Amino acid sequence: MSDRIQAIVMPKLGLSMTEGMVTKWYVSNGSKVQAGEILADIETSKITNELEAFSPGIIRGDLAEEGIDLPVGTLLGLIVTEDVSNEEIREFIDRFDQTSIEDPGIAIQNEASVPSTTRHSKPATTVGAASQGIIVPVSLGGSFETEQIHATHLAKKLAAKHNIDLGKVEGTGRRGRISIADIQTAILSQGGTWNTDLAHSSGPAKSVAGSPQISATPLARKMATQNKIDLNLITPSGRNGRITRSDVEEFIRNHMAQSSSNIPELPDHGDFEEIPISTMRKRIGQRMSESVNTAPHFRLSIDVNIDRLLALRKSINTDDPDIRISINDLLIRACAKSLLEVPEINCQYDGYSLKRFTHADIAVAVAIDDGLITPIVRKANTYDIRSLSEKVENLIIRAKTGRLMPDDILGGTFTISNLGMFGITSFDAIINPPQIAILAIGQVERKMVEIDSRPEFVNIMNMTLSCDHRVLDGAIGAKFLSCLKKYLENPSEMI
Amino acid sequence: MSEKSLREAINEALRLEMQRDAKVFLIGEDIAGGTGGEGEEDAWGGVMGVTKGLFGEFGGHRVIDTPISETAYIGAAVGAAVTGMRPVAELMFCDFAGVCFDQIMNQAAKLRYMLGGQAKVPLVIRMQCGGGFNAAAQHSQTLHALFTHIPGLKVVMPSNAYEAKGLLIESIRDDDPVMFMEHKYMYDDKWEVPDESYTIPLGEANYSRDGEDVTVCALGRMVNLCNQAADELKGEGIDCTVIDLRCTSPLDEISICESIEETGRLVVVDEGYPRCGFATDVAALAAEKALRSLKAPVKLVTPPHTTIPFAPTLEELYIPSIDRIMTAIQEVYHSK
Repeated sequence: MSDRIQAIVMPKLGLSMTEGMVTKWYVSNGSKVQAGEILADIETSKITNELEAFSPGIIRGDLAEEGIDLPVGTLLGLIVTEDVSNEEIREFIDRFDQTSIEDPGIAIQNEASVPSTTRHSKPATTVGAASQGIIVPVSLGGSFETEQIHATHLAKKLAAKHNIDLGKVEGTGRRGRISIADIQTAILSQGGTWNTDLAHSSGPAKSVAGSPQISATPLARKMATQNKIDLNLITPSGRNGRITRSDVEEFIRNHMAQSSSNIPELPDHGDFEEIPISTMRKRIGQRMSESVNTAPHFRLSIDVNIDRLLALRKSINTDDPDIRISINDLLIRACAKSLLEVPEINCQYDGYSLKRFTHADIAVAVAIDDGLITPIVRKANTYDIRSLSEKVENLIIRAKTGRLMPDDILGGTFTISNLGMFGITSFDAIINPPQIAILAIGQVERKMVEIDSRPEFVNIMNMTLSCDHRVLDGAIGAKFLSCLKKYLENPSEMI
Repeated sequence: MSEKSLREAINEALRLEMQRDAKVFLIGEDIAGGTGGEGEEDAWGGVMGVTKGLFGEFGGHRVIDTPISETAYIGAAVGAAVTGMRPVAELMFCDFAGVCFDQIMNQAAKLRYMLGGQAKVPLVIRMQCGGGFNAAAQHSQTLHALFTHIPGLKVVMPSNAYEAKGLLIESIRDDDPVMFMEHKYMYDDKWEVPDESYTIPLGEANYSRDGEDVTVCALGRMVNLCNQAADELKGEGIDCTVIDLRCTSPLDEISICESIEETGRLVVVDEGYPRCGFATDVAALAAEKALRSLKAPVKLVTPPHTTIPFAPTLEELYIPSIDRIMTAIQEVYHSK
């Protein structure tokens, strides 16, 4: 593949990204572009990002339609040099389609661009097929003579499938033999991507959710995958309850019949409007369902008297007119301190391993037009209140304008969700996995309480902590909330 | 290249190495195979006729017949190895290892380590193993697990004539003691074997079948049964990888784990005793290093934990059969 034709593909902007949408093209077929020029806006599950031209040239090919979800690695368009003919372009696109079809899930990044997570936007042009699974850096690309390479059988198989030159991989086995683990090390150390699940389930059709456990003939499995049918739904007729080709065919017949006759047709009188579900909406739905279905939630509520907190905030803001500390900033500060004091909460749990973190990376839920986003204040415990306030403000502005980077939203050890400004007095939130707890903040209310045997009006804020009972118990949650209450009611201790 | 039996392939490996290196010599009971009378030398070439012809070509100083004392001649072979020779001792049956186990376990296996690497023990001990001949309990065992248990010994068990030639040449050139186990049932089995010298590295498994549904690990004669079972099951749509491990020590753990990661299902087939045996060793490896890849419980196909019976009908039931292997693979494949 020469430098004269370069593919613009749907970039992978984070580990969990599988599809994305071009929301807007800034160029059209025939436009001249410079390296670094913005080509399009890409919307993913959580962020909108800009796609930049990797090198100068002319935009050619049928540009991908705006507003449609496309898998990572899909060809969006081409950047070509002036001397490239239409024929060459057609040939390139044909070849590209073939490689994507033959080998979905694999990408060769032929550009010398190494994925970086810190740049403003990801490398805009990657050449090759879809890029889930394994992305082989160009430095490892190529082929090898199987006789001359000392590697395990499956390492050779994997390398041949993904066009990796094993001559460039260092073997750590007996007599320098190369194993799959060595290939993984080489790919990761040279900037590639490795998704172990996909890499190992190299067999066709076996990665369909839930189906490897189900007994089916290979052909039936393949047909089910092609038709996107969950094998669980098919009634088997084969020996030992095995699903056969005819079972799948019968399912397709019945299913088709059902969808056309049994489901009542909705009236088409313009009584409703079909709303497309955005990628972000789907992603939120997936994550929340997963959380509710896997993490048994319990909730703990507590009232906090924030009179002193309000007073402190006022005095800081009056002393220095340049800054404007919000209640939210103080809440993040108090949570950061409490998370370090009750580290059992400052964890991530994925169902297998529980990771306890040294720093509090606190996610703050921010409502945006089409949903919700949770930018993360990294190492929130290391900032004083003024720099924390600036950091949070910056994150929220970028969240509301859709300019967050992947690094701003991935991970996190705890989340705060505040609906006080909408007049909600108390509520509980769903944990954002792999975190194990989330704090829901209600609005501040004037309430009469008994102080020194006399009734007094004070400012009360209700907080509800949702905890994952798989790894947390009530007593720990209570310990965290009372610690938090201590800081909020005696704020001088945390400033 | 021509078809050769296991017996011929081993004979060829010995001859090629003896031609190549004057330090290589053979020692054992009856390996020259004379009756002691005039003109009768080289009549047999060992109890299975493996070394036939070598006495004539290399003479009595390199094909040494010994009295019936395993303790003496295995001990002598260890001593010769330490002085720099490359002896290939024939223990006849692995069942006889008990007689000379101190020489194997405490001398051959330990000297290089205990002398801080100043001495090496480039010794090969060839022996028959395996049942199927109605040779009764003392001449039918498969004792690779016993040797594998001892650090310092390499343990090799070829699955056919081609493998045997390459592995034996490699074993003779290896600087550590190698227990080389030949299945007596296969001595007449023919295979394509190149005429020239070649080696197969120790500790690197061979994928004799490559499928994506079930991993089947085996050694020696069992590999051939597994291959037949895999070929049968292919018709049923079950696609097996058969791993011929070749050696139990060193063990190619990486190849086993990589395959389990691909298939998620493991069957281990072994002719040795099941308790503290080789099959349990591989199962433990899977549990320790590849558990998360397993989609079904591991199945072991071994004899029952009892002495090998003499009665032909019982012996047939005792040794893992193609039917038992196929059943195990089907169970693992259909297990949820």
